[in-house]
Amino acid sequence: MHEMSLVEAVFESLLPLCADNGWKRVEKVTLKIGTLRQVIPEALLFCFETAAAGTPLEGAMLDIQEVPIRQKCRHCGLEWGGEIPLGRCTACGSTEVDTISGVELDIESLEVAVDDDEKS
Amino acid sequence: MTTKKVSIFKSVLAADEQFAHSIRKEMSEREILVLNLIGSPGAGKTSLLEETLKRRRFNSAVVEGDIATARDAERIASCCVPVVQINTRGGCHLEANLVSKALKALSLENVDVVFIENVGNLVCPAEFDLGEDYKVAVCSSAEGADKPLKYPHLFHECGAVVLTKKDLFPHVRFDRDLFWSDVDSLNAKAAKFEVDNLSGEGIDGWVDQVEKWLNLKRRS
Ligand SMILES: Nc1nc2c(ncn2[C@@H]2O[C@H](COP(=O)(O)OP(=O)(O)OP(=O)(O)O)[C@@H](O)[C@H]2O)c(=O)[nH]1
Ligand SMILES: [Mg+2]
Ligand SMILES: [Zn+2]
Ligand SMILES: [Zn+2]
Repeated sequence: MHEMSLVEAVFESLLPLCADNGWKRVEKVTLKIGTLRQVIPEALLFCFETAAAGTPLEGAMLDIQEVPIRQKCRHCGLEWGGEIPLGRCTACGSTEVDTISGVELDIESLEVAVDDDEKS
Repeated sequence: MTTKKVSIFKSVLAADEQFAHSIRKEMSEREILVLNLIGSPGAGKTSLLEETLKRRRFNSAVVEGDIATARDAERIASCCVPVVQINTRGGCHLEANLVSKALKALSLENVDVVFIENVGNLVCPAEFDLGEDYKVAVCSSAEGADKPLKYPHLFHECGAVVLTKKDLFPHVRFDRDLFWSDVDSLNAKAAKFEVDNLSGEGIDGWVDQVEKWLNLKRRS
């Protein structure tokens, strides 16, 4: 259950940002999370709602965008996707395989409510 | 009131990654190899460390991660090796900020290898970078041969897989071929070992690997 740790990290990074910019209400938080990260969306949502109470993020929608696993062979250039990462290229057998997506754990963007006069 | 969209593009774990980065930098300067041992509760992580330390092939220090108690640290201390215990108080994995604090409590003069024993858990420890050179997956035959595919991230990422309790293969009907072929499909490059921590069988091969990594680090 590392979802609580992730949510704590999200708040540690977003709350100072809200304070610095004077954002009193965040409407939406978009996260990009790779399949390999083994995050359970429901658990993340639950932790997020709990942690958001009484902060500018209270009531914000949490949009979790799952990024599927993609891998690429350095030797023959083949690219593929799948449920489980492979350590060997299915075409040429090379073990020089890069995981090009599926390990993301990023805060992508926010939507914040701003007074019309301070909108720049 | 209107809504404004703000791009952030920042890693969720950015703050902890800073700690991992500075551990990696300091350990590189000191030419100390750092290994992060990950496996389920009871897989045999502490036993593997005890056997490794007994051989005294290099100077070691150990960071022990457990939810509670100092039992594992006491076992390591009786091997006469510097050790520091982190209690996560419910936390099911170690994070780099905790390890960074723990390392400050150790005297690293003349240390060649720091072993970090993560909290017993096959899932989330794989998600947190501790500034290590390699993650080591420790899995016991008694857990069953299907674990690599069920917990792919660790087995995909690690530098070595140590299968413990090889003495129990016949008793638990361990499907060795299935285990190693699944490990191979996830991570063909990982170094692979089978050990019996009770008799010490297979430990030398693993210790040779640690020494090989240490020499690689010193040469780079
Ligand atoms: N038969 C057999 N038993 C082993 C072996 N390695 C460890 N054990 C036993 O397995 C039990 C758990 O071993 P530990 O080394 O404490 O396991 P651990 O992974 O450190 O456990 P936690 O730190 O609690 O997660 C102990 O009773 C050990 O004696 C082995 O190779 N063969
Ligand atoms: Mg232990
Ligand atoms: Zn290929
Ligand atoms: Zn955890």
